[in-house]
Amino acid sequence: MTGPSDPEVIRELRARVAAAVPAMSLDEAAVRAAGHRRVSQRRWAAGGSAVAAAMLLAVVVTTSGWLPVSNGIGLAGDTGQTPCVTAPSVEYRAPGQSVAPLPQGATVTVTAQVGEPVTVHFVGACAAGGRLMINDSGSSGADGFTDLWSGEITGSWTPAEPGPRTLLAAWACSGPKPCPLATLGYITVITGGPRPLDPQPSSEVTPGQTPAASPDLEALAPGEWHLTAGPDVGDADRALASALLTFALDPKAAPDALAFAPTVALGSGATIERSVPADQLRDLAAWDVAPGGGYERNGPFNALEILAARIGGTDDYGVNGGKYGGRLSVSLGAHPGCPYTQVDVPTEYATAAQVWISPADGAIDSCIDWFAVNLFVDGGAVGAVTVQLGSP
Amino acid sequence: MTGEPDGGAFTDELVELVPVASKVRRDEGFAAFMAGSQAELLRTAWLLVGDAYRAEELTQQALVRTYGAWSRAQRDPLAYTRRVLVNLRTDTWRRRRHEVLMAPERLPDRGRAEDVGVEQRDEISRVLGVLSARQRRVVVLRYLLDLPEAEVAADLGISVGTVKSTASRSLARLRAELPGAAGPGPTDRGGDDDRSQ
Repeated sequence: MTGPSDPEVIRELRARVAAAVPAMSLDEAAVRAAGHRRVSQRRWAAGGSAVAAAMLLAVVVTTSGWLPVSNGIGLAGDTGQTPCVTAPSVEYRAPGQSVAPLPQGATVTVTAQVGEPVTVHFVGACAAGGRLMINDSGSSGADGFTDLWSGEITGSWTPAEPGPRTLLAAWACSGPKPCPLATLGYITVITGGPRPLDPQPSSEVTPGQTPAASPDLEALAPGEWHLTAGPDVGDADRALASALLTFALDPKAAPDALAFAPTVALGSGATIERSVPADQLRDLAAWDVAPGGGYERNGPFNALEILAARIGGTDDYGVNGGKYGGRLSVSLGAHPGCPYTQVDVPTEYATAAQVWISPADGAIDSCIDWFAVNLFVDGGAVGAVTVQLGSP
Repeated sequence: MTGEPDGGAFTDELVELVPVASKVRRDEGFAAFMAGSQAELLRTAWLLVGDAYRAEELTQQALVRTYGAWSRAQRDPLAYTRRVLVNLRTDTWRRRRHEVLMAPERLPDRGRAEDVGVEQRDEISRVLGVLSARQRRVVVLRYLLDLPEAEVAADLGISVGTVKSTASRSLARLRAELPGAAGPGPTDRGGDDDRSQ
């Protein structure tokens, strides 16, 4: 039987909707007040009710050309509780570069040109029960740093005049004594940026679909990707990540480099939901996890779809296309989430090698676009795959 | 490495760099955005949840997130908020989800005769209620907001192929629910989505 065409169905649906939407309204001031409360609550949740310390991360911009990074620990203020000022390690990362860890409280000198936009992204996390506090100024903005999510802060600015200038975020870990707290933190300078401490550039993986060298990231076509990998990522890890991306684009084809264990555990965050025989993994639906949602999002989540969505689009908005599309990175080891900085590793795979794919540095500017697809490798085979998403 | 801030001036600058002006600018920008986009966002939310009160609640949640991320969202705040809107899973949403996704046959066929608006709302709720949650989001974004497939995919974090197949499957289901469009077509009350690429 012949029914209405798709356009007819759409027209009818639109016509009915047009007459059906009820009158609704919101109070702008109430929304703004709720926004203030949310920002404040997240800051308090991260930092507790008292400022234990304010360690400064200062980004100084001058306009005289590239300058070397200068590091210095600075304890900016101590408002009571004794802070942990020892032991924490901070990793500093510039785009495409991997540099030596910096100590907490390091001062980083960045040089930019007048009129050159500079964006700095900082993520920190405290382990051992520590709580991260960022910018306890009580303000919702500090010279471009207007997002005070716990553990994450991003600032953008364009210097209009020559001379030194300071952008800063006060941050510190407070927590149970005795010290030290284990701290994980890193900074990403998306544009502009310091001269890297490590002159060795990161290795960049170029799968078959992508240009060989110095790829024009803006020119990536649908289905192309560019995978950045740190120097600690081995060839096998890169090949594994590339194979998974190939698989994500066409689940019916299983690349040789993608070696699954006989059964593969699938899950979300630290939770393994089920094990799936490897021969069923060509069915895209088999990868669905977290049907009830998570990370403050609706479910289900699907690792292959998450990856395919990043490299398969053509539009100029969002992670799916334009300047964001296909710019991914492969990394090793456990990692924090976004903006929440908990480390979600299933206990069953705590000792397995973890290879994870996420958006490349600078490819996203919001946690809503962040994700990690984690591969847990044991004995050369992928035994588990988990998904993590950033919260809206 | 020393125990003092490099240059010692940063503490003073910390105070200096807490600009009230930036907060004022943020509030002004947000207020203008909200005034201009509130109606569209509420409409989108209502299409997603089918209830005015919950739509207002969902929209407010999404706007609160947008306000908190204004420095990133202000590039395209409507797109940012819409994206949060279609992805956000609130506790309220979960608690009341059954109220929205109840079986279509349980929804009233007709509203009160004297209230055309209610009747039409009931009807569109019933029609959209036959869709799965993902199908409904795809239909709302693709056909009622008229977004490109790639943008729908980006908003929902799914592939373009899945958007296409889900949209196709959704239209097949809607075909039978919209008698005004034409006669009955193929119906499919089976699985959630066609996941083939």
